[in-house]
Amino acid sequence: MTALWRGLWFIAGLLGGGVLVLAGLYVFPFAFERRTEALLPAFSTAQTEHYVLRIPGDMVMATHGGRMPFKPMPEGVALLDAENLANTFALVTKFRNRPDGPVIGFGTELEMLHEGSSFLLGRLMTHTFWSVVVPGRGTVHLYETENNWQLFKRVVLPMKWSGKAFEGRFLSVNTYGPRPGYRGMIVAGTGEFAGRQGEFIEIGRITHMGLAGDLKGLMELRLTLPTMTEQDSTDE
Amino acid sequence: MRWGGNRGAALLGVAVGAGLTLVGLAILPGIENPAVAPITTRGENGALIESFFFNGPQDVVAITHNGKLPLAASPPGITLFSEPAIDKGFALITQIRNAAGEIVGYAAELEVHPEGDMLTQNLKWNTDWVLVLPARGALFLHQQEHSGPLREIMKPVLAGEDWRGDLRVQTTVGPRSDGRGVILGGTGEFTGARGAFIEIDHLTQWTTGGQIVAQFELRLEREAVP
Repeated sequence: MTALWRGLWFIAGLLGGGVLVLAGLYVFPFAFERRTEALLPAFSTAQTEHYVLRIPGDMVMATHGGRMPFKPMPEGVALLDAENLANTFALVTKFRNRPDGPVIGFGTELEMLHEGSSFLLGRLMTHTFWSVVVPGRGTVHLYETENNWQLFKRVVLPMKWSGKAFEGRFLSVNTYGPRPGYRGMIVAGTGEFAGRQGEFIEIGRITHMGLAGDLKGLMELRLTLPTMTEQDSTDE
Repeated sequence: MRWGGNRGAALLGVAVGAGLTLVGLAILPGIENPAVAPITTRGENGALIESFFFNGPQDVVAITHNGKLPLAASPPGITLFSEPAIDKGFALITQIRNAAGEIVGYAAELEVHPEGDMLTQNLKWNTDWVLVLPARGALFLHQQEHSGPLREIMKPVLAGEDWRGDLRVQTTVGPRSDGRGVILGGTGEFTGARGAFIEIDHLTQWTTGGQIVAQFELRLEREAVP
């Protein structure tokens, strides 16, 4: 009987140990969780070129390899279901110059899960490639790594636990790198974006997430685009 | 304090449970992007030549534009580019294959068409490609294409007849002076990539409903890194 009780206490301890670690991880204050407050002033709309998309209104098509918590659209769109595309995501979207502004461009967001992702380190990361086409001006290609730990912690997990859709206001700089200071980079461009170097951040504002992965909110890209003259003087 | 009783068992359980959870968290989510070995050949001056292919319609995930092109937007119900600022735009998402026919990634093609009738005039337009190759990186390409060779196909289609045939055509005409497109850059193993590329379309069918049966090739020639 004593052995049985010890066994039960051991199992209870086992579960308790697991819960303790998970709870500790949930409340652990990772430094990167403060990047939204730190970065938004540096990337104010007055100093940046910004592209906004309304979710879901401006989304044209979204699909993935089956592992992302988002609902593909429109109905009937194929999944990227080849074996080596299981960790990918693709979005075609329209862009505005402000949330209530007119459509000024279109483009894509292509993602693949980042091999450096780790729950233990609070890293739920993607390699993300944005391309923004502004007819009459050119195309700008962006690269960032994202860390969606806060989205997971504050939106996805509470939704899964409660079994109810998330309703609220979630604001987050999703960009994690690859530049120091949690900044993405401008990789290439054409037209008036040709040769321009700079940085950007991606800002997500979510007001609704349903159990099926449907979203409402805004996504914004804020780019610092030095003029060629500024760039030249920095290079010297 | 006695450690051998129930309390000891519970504490041992806590330690083991915490340890197992930590190990589980360390190895999960186990994200791996399977690599497919590239199929390349060496060109002049050591340039690396690699082709990527996609077959229409089976590899194409989505197409959209203003709804007026003789190429059907898909899947049915996809939002069109109806706003004035983007009504000359075109976007395509497709899976891409290597020379052995294996799916090795996916890509976006983004175009802005010119004013004028592409089917009666030989017009040029700008096309950007983004290629994402899991475990390798991404490539950003830019080219100018022209409508010239496609006009012969479109004549019967616009007259109400499906076209069947065998037409292989290089659609790239620039912006390089040698008529090829440019590799703008990349990430991962393609960081700093430079070079040229061409798009070759091999068309066998174009229906009045806007369906195309074709194989498309992007043939890249990356400059050797000194």
